[in-house]
Amino acid sequence: MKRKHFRQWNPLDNAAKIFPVTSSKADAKVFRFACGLTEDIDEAALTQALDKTLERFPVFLSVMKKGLFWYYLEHTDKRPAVAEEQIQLLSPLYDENVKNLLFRVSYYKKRINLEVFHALTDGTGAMFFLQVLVYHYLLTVHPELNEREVVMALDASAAQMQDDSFDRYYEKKSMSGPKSRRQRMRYGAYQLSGTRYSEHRMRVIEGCAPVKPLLTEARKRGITLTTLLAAVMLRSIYQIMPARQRKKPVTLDIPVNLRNYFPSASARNFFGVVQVGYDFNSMPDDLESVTAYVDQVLKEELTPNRLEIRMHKLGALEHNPFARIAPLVLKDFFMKIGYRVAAAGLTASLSNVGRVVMPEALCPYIEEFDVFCSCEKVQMCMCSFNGVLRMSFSGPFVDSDLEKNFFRALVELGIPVTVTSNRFPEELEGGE
Amino acid sequence: MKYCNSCKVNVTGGQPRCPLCQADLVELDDKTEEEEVFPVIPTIYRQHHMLFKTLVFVTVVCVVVSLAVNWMLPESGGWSLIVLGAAVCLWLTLWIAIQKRKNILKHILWQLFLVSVLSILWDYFTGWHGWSLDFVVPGICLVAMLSMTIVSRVMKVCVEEYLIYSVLGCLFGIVPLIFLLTGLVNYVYLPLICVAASIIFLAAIVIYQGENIAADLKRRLHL
Repeated sequence: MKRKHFRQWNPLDNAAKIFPVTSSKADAKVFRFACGLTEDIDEAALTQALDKTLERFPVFLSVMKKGLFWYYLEHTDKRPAVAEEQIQLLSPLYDENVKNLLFRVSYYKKRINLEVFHALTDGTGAMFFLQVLVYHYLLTVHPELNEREVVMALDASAAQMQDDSFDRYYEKKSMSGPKSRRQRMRYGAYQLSGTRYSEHRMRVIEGCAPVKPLLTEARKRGITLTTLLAAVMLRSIYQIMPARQRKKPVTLDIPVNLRNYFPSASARNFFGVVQVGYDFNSMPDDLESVTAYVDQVLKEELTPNRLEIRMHKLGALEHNPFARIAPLVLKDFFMKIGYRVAAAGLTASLSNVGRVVMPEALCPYIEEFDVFCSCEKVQMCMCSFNGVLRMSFSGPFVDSDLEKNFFRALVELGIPVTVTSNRFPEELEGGE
Repeated sequence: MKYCNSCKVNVTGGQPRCPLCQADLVELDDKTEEEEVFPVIPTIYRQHHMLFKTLVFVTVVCVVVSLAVNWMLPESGGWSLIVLGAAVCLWLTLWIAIQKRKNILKHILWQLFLVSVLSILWDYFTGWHGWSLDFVVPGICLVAMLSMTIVSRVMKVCVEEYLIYSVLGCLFGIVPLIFLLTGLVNYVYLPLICVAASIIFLAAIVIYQGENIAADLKRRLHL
């Protein structure tokens, strides 16, 4: 008898559960990883490379479906089409009425763009995917590169990559610890406001700077690069706050890759979030004070114990028997409220994807990597490659004062900065 | 490469002005290539907005005028409420059609529920002649089942996509059995045909696609 083959499916992991509920036209919960090469992209080769990459990342071939109690990812026979970039960046990928793939690959001149819906994976997983894609692409267009000599470090089985690490590290136990600072200062954070672009378009402003002088600046103060940039960003926000709002704290969301604390090779979501709130009303606003405070908070929060407490809290919410048997419509409703409440305690986000490492033989063909994310507030994402750090601000606002303050502060520290941004038809010369 | 004198940063990507402070830029003398990082993508403004607004406006005018005229001529009866009800029903069905336009099967199922409920309400508020249960609900069920089958064949929708909608449609088609048994129906032919067809259709799905349904239910009901 012929064996029946059933579709593979996965429940959403703990962090992914919020994304289908909260994704909207204004914030599609989509992020983009891009890789700039030294030559123009060849579409056929990219398609071929994508097929090879997908063999290693079967999770990406999924569509989102609604059950009675939970959303889930179901394996699909649909295949992605590679196309030249021709839709607005960070356009929605998830539509509850259309069962589409939750990622898209496009190219423009020398750049390969990978856009991913956040429920599918997090920054680490997507970067992993893009690296493998670039690796296969370069091997396809440069047959002289020997596959045996260029080794892409990818030591994870398909099962390991499909792993729901939140679930694996969750166990029923009571956990408590001292209240963190963020809990004391999370409500009513300052909210950025201003004119937004029409049609829910996103403005992206990217600045690149050499890593070395930045690291020197950070080490001079005995802090990490993330701490330094978070402090600069907090101050940049403070500078644009209207006087009557200055009583409110400025709060930054900083996503943390949990794989660094709890071993996992999952290509799905596995991140936590740490919040740093600074109250400029009661604390001094010079850079040294802010960096010292941010450093202290991050040192307290970024410990396996604290991260586990937070992870456990969210896990317990998901495993609560009453929450489990509540129908999805009810869950959607409460999750939306919870999301709004959490968003009110947040001013902006900063996420550091870290250093991108590619096989040495491929580096001459690669110019840069960059990353940015859709958001209703402002989010700064950064990653470094070949000694250059790219910091990308994305947000819906026409005003760019926050970015201006940020990059001018870096220039004041003596760091050379090169800036670029996306442009809209109405801003082109001669156009109105 | 260009340079912004106020921000003291280099600017690339063919920018006419500084992205940070919108000041004019100074051209630098280096010969590095100007490479745009992002394409300029034209904005597609919604074009059906005007027609839509006109339709809404015409409906509002009709309803308001008929309410006003009816008030002036109270002896003519409550006919303006029928106009109001018709307008509400029209926009409810249209709204569902727009919401679900990207998924035809889901759309058919939603319209099946909506039109059935609306027709029963109309029948009830216009003096219960029973036409909704005799003809409209079973008729619409039959049409829905037939169109779902045709659409899923023509559009080559995969099994997992249409199974759930077909099953729900069939289950809905068996509901008239309750009306038959409770004696709410005057003319039994169409409701009987509808119930019989639904049961046969459901049996076919269960017999031929039983494993798929079981697997789909397991996914959709996971806790």
